Parts: sequence; structure tokens; C-alpha cells
Amino acid sequence: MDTSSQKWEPIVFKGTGGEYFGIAITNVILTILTLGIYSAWAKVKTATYFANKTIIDETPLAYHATGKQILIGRLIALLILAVISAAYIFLEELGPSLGTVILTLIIVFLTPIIFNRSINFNLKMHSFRNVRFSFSGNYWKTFFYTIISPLLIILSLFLAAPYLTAKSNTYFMSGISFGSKKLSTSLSATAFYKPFFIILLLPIFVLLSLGLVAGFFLGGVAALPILFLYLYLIYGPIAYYVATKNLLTSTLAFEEMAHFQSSLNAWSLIGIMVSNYLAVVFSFGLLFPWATIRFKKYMLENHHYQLIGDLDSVIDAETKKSNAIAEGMSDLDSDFSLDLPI
Amino acid sequence: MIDGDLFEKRSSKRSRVQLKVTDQECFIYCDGSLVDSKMDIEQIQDKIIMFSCGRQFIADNTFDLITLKNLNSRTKKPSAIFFAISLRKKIILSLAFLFLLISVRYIFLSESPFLVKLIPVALEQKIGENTYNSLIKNPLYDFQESNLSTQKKTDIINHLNTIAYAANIDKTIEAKFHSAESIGPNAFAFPGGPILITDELVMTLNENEIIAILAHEIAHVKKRHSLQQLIKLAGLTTISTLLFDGIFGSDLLADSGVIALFLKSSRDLEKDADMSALKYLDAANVDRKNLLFAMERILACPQKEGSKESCDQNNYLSWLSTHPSPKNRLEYLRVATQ
Repeated sequence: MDTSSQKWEPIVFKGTGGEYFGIAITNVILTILTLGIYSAWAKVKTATYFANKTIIDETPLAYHATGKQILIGRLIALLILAVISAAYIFLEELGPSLGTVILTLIIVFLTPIIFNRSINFNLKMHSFRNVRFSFSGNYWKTFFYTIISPLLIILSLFLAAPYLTAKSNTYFMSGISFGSKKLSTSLSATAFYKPFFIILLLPIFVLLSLGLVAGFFLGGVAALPILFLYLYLIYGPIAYYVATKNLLTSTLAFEEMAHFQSSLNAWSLIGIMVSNYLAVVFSFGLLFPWATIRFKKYMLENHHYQLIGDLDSVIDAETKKSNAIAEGMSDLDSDFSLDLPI
Repeated sequence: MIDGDLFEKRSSKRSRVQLKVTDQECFIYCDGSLVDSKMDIEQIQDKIIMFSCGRQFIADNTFDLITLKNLNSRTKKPSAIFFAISLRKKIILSLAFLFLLISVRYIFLSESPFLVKLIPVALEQKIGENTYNSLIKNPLYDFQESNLSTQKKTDIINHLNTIAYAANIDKTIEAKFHSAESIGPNAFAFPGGPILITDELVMTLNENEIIAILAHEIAHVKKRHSLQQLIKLAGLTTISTLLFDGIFGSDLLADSGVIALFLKSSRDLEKDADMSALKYLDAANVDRKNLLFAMERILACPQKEGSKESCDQNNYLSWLSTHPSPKNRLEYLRVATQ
């Protein structure tokens, strides 16, 4: 198929603040009144709304998890955490730091399992045209990118960060499937170095040098470059995130089916971020549903796809049952879902 | 008849079909021919109907109310139908939301002195012990064995007991002595009781001033300030998560807000400990001015040796501090000890 003749279409998000207000506010009220128990159902309602309002090629996504499923997962995860905590107290009595060492080892070696299963669960619960998404990860590769890689980034004084994050993105994205179709990326391992140097290192180095030179020769005037440096330390990481995200998205493709692009802009993102925050604070929280929708809409509608093959031919492969326990455990810590538009 | 797409089980293959819903059954037609009937509905999500057999129907438009009523009567799981609620419902929900949010804020922040009473003392002591063990092992602070004489340590322990008695504390407060050059003259109260006293503090202050500092630390222990802080942090984090979770960037700003409020609470508790310390000093017949003198010495600016002036050149950053600014602290202590 001649891909150049195919149009780039934006992902459409049809959610509105008015519709989401009722869902979100009710979720918060019931979550508080039930001391958090309702949050499992709240999560399902929110995810279902976002999925149903996300339209690709005129077809909405569907969400399949149930509140009961997520609650049971969370309860089991809590039980496991309680057992680990009790074991920690017992081991600390046996010998100083014994509990800390063993607990750390348990958490370190459990992390890849939780990551893999949580990402798979989050994707598996979404379907498009009756076909589910999924993630298949390798324990040791996930171990490397979640445990070893952050340590290497720190040890290399962040110079290895572009290389390792590009490799990590390649690994995680390549693990995603839409039914029988695998997601692939042609991202080069050194692709993030250009934005790393141009957006992060060079401006910070220049502003720091200017600050030091001005401070040495002119005294008080040094405050200006340093003020710019502080401001840049807010803008720089967001601009770097946007640049790498756009780069990564442009390399993603489902084999013989679709290519992707994103056109995120750092200033727009900062504008949304700051105005959302102010809106929520000054409305005493009442505008948070509107802020959520506004952010979601910006993120989704700045992702584009180009269909290059037949969407009718995708078959959902029968896979292992996904695990709500791992999802529950990940919820206790942080959201391990991948940075995807869905 | 509702126009839409039908997807077979685990297949993305799209067929254009018409769905007919009656109060008894739903029928699917393709090009006028019946495809299937008597299909069990698993769930309805907006324009999507999920059938128990694994098929999925996606309508071109949202369902009208009669169709929805007919569909809902045969659905296994609750339907997920989204619509904008009326203004009246919005106002009621908003009021309930604000009431609950204020309640959470009030319970966690204003009632933390009451909430700490629900936490067993033994657990608090365990937390304190673990925190102390972690702190002294932290290479960043380089804690060493104390070089104080046994007599000096005994004297300080006696002072500690006197002040604890004056504060109506009926348990023994353990004193931990360490030398810590990187920290300098300082004392820390850990949850449940242990109080760490640095050699540098003992060298810097006279006996009554040491008693005044011990009174300040005893106030932290008696009022269970560390636990109060944990409860407040839990409350602030809960509110922040409820409001900002999932709004990229704003959650980071919200975390900064939580930290700023947490630090403000910490400064308030420090002031509370200072004020309580003055009462304990009165009860122990020690001149309350000793707390002011002790603070003047500890907070004295190293750049202005011999001066009682504090380092206030960074006063505009005091909102980032866990303790009141030296200037502010000395001011309120001067007023309270007049």
C-alpha cells in the first residue's frame, strides 16, 4: 500500500467537562465516604469514560475491568504488603538491618513482575474494534530497565540517560500488541542525545556560566542569569519530555496497519499545567474534572495516526488471564502503565 | 432499527448491521437478513453493546431513552452511560464535595492532636527507635560516639527527668548522646521519646540553657508532634491525590503545595513546642529566659561572631524551612519571656 497517499488523522477525544463533572465528583464523594473502598469502582468508571470518549477511525475504545476485580486485587496486594511488613519487624528483631536487607531484596526482585503484569493488565482491559491490547515483558529485561538502568543513569551523572531511556522505550513499546499485531519502533539508541544536549545541557551550561561570570565581574547582576536558570530548570525538563515523546511516537508502528505521530508543544503543555493548577486551586477543587478533560483532550488530540493497512484483519490472540493483583499492587505505589495516549 | 458496526468475537472485522431492540429481545440484521437474536447482553458502555458471546456492537449514534430502557433490563453488568447532569444536581454535588473536602481537611489538620491518641504508644516508640537507628547510621551526618564524661551525661539525664516530671510525663525519656560536627549544637526528639543531644550543644550552652532546650524537645514528645505531622501529611496527600491525580504537571505543583503546607505546619509545631517549653520551665522553677538565651546562642550567625544577631539574610526563604525563621523565633521568645 502506498503510505504517502494515506491521510494523517488525529485521535479524537469527545469527553466534556460537563459530563465528566458528575462522574468525577461522585467518585470523590463516594471514595471519601467509603474510606477508599469505592476507589476501585471509581477507577473503572473513569477509565470507561475516557476509553468510550476516545475515538480512533470513528470507533470508540472499550474498557473491560470491573470494580470487584480491582478491589480484590488491591486487597490481596495489601495482604501481601502486611505480610512483608510483619516479616520485616520479625527479621529486625533477629538482627540489625536484616529486615531492611531482605525486604529491599524482595521488593527489588518483585518489581519486574509487578511492572510487567500491571502494564499488561492496564492494556488488556482496553479494546478497540473488539480486539484487546496487551503487553508481554521479559523478567530480566524489565529488571534491567526498572532497577539497574536508573542506577546507571545516576552513576553516569545523567550522561547515559538519553541512551538508556531510548533503549528502555524501545523495549517497553516493542512489548505491546494489538491483538496479533505487534507494536514496533525504529527509535535509534542515540536519538535522544540531540534534544538532551540542545534542550537540556547547553542552555543550562550557558546560563550557569553567564551567572558565574556576571557574578564574578558585576556582583549583583548575577541574579538575572540565575533567575533564568531557575526558570529554565522548569521549562527544560518539560521541553525535553515533549521532544523525546514526539520523537518516540514518530517511530511507532503497528505492522502493516498504522503509523503514529505526535505534535506536543512544551509551551502549550506548561500553559495547560499552570492554568489547570490555578483553576483547581481557586475553584476549591471544583474545576478538577474540567482540568482533567482539558489535559486529556490536549494529549490525545495531538496524537495522529496514519492507516496503512486493513484494520479488519486483526485477530485477538488467546492469552493468559491478566492479573488484577499486580495491578492492585502497582496502584499502591504508582501507576506503572506506559505513557500511551490510551 | 439502530445502525452500527458488529464485531465478531476477538475479531476486528467490521460488518455494517442494524440492531432492533424490543422489550423482549434484540435482533441483528445484515442487509435485511436476520443474523442473530436472543443475544445476552454483558454490558452497555456509551454507544457500545458487549454481548456475552463475545460480539460487540457499536452504534453510529447514542441510544435513545426507550432503547436504553429495553437494553438495560437485560444487562448483566451495570451500564456505563454518560450524560451531563442538570444544574441542580451539579450544585448539590458541588456542595457535598466541598463539605467533604473541608471535613477531610479539618479532621486531618485540625484534629491531629486527637487522632494521635488513637495510635498505640508502643507503635510510636518503635517508629522512634527505627528512625533514631537510621539517622545515626546515615553517613551524611557522621554521628560519632559522645565524648562527654559520664558525670555530664548523668547530670543531663537528671535534668531531663526533672523537666519530664514538670511536663507531667509519667514515663522515662531516654537520652542519646552523640558527637556530630556536621550538625553542630542541636537536639532531636524522636517519636515516642528518645532525645538525641549532640556534644556540640552541651559545649555551647550553660546548664540552664540546656534544660530549656530539653524542655522544648520534651514538648515535642509529650504532644506527639512527629505523629501529628505524619497524620497531617496523610491528610494533605489525600486531598492532593483526590484533586490532582491524573492531571499531568498540576500534580507536581500540587505536591509542592503539600510540601509548603507541611513545612508551615512544622513551623507551627516548633512554635508550639517553644511555648510549651516555657510552661515546663516555670513548673520546674527554671527561669524561662533561658530558652531565649539558648536560642540566641544556637541561632547566632557564625559570620557575626560575638553578636546576638541571627542570620536573617535568607529570611525570604523562611517558608521553605521546617523551623520558624531565627528573627521571628527570637522575636516571639523575647515577647513571651518579658
